[in-house]
Amino acid sequence: MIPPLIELKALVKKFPAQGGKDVTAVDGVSLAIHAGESVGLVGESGSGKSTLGLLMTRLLPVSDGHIFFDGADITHLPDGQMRPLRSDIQIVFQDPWGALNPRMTVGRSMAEPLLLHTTMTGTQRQQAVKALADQVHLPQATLNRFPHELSGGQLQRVSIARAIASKPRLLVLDEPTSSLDLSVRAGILDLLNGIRKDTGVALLLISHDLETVELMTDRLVVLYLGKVVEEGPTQSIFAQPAHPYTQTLMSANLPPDPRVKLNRLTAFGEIPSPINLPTGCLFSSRCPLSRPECTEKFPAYSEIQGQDDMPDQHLVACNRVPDASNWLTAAPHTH
Amino acid sequence: MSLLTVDDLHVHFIARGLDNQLRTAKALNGVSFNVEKGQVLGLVGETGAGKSLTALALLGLLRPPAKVVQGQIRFKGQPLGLLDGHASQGMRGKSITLIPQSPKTSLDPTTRIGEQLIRMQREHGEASYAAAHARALEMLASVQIPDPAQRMQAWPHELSGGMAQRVLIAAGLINSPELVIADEPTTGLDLTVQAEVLDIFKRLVRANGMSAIIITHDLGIVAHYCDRMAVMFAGTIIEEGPVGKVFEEQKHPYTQNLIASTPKQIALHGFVGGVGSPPNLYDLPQGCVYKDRCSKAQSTCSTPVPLVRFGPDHQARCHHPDQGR
Repeated sequence: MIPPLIELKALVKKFPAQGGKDVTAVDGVSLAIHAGESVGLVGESGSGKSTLGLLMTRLLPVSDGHIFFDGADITHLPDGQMRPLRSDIQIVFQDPWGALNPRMTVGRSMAEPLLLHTTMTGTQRQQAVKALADQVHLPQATLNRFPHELSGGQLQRVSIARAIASKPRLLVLDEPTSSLDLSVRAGILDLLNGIRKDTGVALLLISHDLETVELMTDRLVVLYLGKVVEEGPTQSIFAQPAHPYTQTLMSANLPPDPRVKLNRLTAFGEIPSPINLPTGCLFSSRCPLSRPECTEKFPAYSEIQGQDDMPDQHLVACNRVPDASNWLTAAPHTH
Repeated sequence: MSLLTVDDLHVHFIARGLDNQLRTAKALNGVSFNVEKGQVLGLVGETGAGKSLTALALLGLLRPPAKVVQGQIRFKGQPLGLLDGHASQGMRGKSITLIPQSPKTSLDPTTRIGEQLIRMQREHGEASYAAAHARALEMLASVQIPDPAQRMQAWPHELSGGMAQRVLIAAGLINSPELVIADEPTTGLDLTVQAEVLDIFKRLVRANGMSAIIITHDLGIVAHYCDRMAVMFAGTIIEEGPVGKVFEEQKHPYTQNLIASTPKQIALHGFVGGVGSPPNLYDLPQGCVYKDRCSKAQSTCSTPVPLVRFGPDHQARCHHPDQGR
C-alpha cells in the first residue's frame, strides 16, 4: 500500500504558559493526507488549526508524537536534512502584507525559493519567475514593484507563486483568503483549484469559512481545543454533521442566500480558556447533551454509516453517537 | 417621511502629495439612499467603496482633508450639519449612534465597563447617576452578559472579543437612539459568537422600533439580518432594493458578480471572472465607475449613468441593467 503523503500520529504541541503551566495547543492529533488530496481543517480561534499547520511544515518543534512524510519519520529531522524536504512542503500564510519582505521587489521574493531549491542560473531563474507570474495571473509589470505597491489579492498571488515555485507536493494554506474581498477571494480560489488540477499538489486548507472549505476540499477535519472531534468526507459532514460541536458550528454559518432558513443551535457559554480545560470531552462544558460519563475521559471515535460510495470513514468523538442520541434540536429562532 | 435621507452626497479628500501637487480623491460620488423607521439597511461593498466614510458623514465625524462638495443628509426632515456639526445639535451619541468595528480598541482601557456606560448617558444630560447605573445594568443584561452586576466592575481587557462586542452593542443602544450604525460589527469574531451577537443586536433593534444600518462585506449577514440592501462601488450606490429581491434578481453587473463569487454559486455555476482592482479614486473614469471591470461595457458606458427603477423599491445605476425575468 502506498503510504500517505503526510501522516500525523498523536501529535502534541505544548507552549509554556505563566506559572509554570503548559498550554496544550494541539493535543494528540492524528490525520493523514494522501497525494493530490484536498483536506479542510476547520475550527474556531484557539482550536489549534494554525499551530497544526506550522507543525506539519516543521516550522515549529513538536512536543510529542510523530510526523511521517512519504513514510519516513521527519518529526525531529535536523534542519540540514529537512532542507531538501522543504521544497516538497510549502505554506501560504493568512496575511499577505506581513508574509513578504518589504525591502525586496516581488520578483526577487519569487526567485528566492528557486535560489534555495534549484540549481538554476540567474537567467533561468528570471525566466522561471516570469512563467510563475503567468501561472498565478500576475502582470509582469508587478515583478519590479515592492510589496507596498500591490493590492492584497496581488500579494496573495505572489505568496502562492513563491510557495509553488519549488513544485511542492503538499501546500498548507492558512486562511489564504480571509483578508480579501469577495470577488478577489473567488479569483484566488479559482487559481488554487487550477494549480491543484495542473500539478496534483495536495492541499491542506485551514479556514474558518465553512463555505470556502465546502467548495475546495474532499475531506474535512474539525478541531476543537486542539483535538479532532470529527473527520470525514466533506460532503458527508456538511450533509450530516454528527458531533454536537460541529452541529453548533455549522448552524451558525450564514449562507449568502436569504431563502435559506437558519436553524440555529446554541451551545452554552463561550470557548473555555486553553489554560483551564474541561476534563473528558472538551465540549462537555458547553454541550446541551452532556452526560456524566462525558466528563470522565475523551470519547472514543465512532463511525457514522454514510453512503457506500464514500471512500473515507466519517469518524466522530462523541459518546452519544453509538446510540444515535447525538442530535441537537433547534431552539426556536425568531427575527 | 423617511427617518434618514441621504441625497447626492459627494465627499472629496483634497491633499498635497509627495510631489507637492494638490490632488483630489473622489471618495463619495453621489451617494443617495433612505432609511425608513424600523428598517435595517445593509450597506455592502468591497474595501475602499466608501461604506465607512458614509457612516462617518452620518455621524458628523468628517474632518479635513475630507470635504463635502455637494449633497445633504436629512434626519427626520431636518438637514444635518455635515462637517462636525452634530455635536452642537446633540444628535451624535443620542439620536444617531455607532457600534464600531473593533471591540478591543473601542472601549476606554482605563475606565471600568459600568462607568463608561454611565458616562455615555450622563454626557447627554438625561439621567441621574443612580438611574444611569440602573439602565447600564439593564442593558448589560439585555445583551446577555452573564452576571452583569459584576461585569460593571470589569476592565475592558478582561473581556473576550465577543463580550466586548456585546458591551459595545449595549453602549450603542443605551441612549435609545432612533438610528444605530453598526460598522462591521462582527469582523474578527468566531462564527458561533458572531451569530449570537447578531441575534442579540437584531432582537434589540426590533424590540425598540429602532432603525439600523449594518455596514459589512459579508453577504451572509445581509441575507439574514437586513431588510434592504445598498451595494456600493467606488463611492456610488450602484444597486439598492429589498434583500430578497436583490438576491433573487440582481440588476447591476457588479451585484451579479458579487453574488456569483460566493462559494455556493461557484459550486453551482463555476468561477466567474470580473475580478480587478478598484478604480483609482484620483482619476475616476468618465460615466460608469464599474465599466473597466464590467463584461457588458460598451461605448455608451462613458456617458452619465441613468438610475433605472424596477418597481417602486428596487433600482440600479447602469446603462445595461439585467432586464431578465
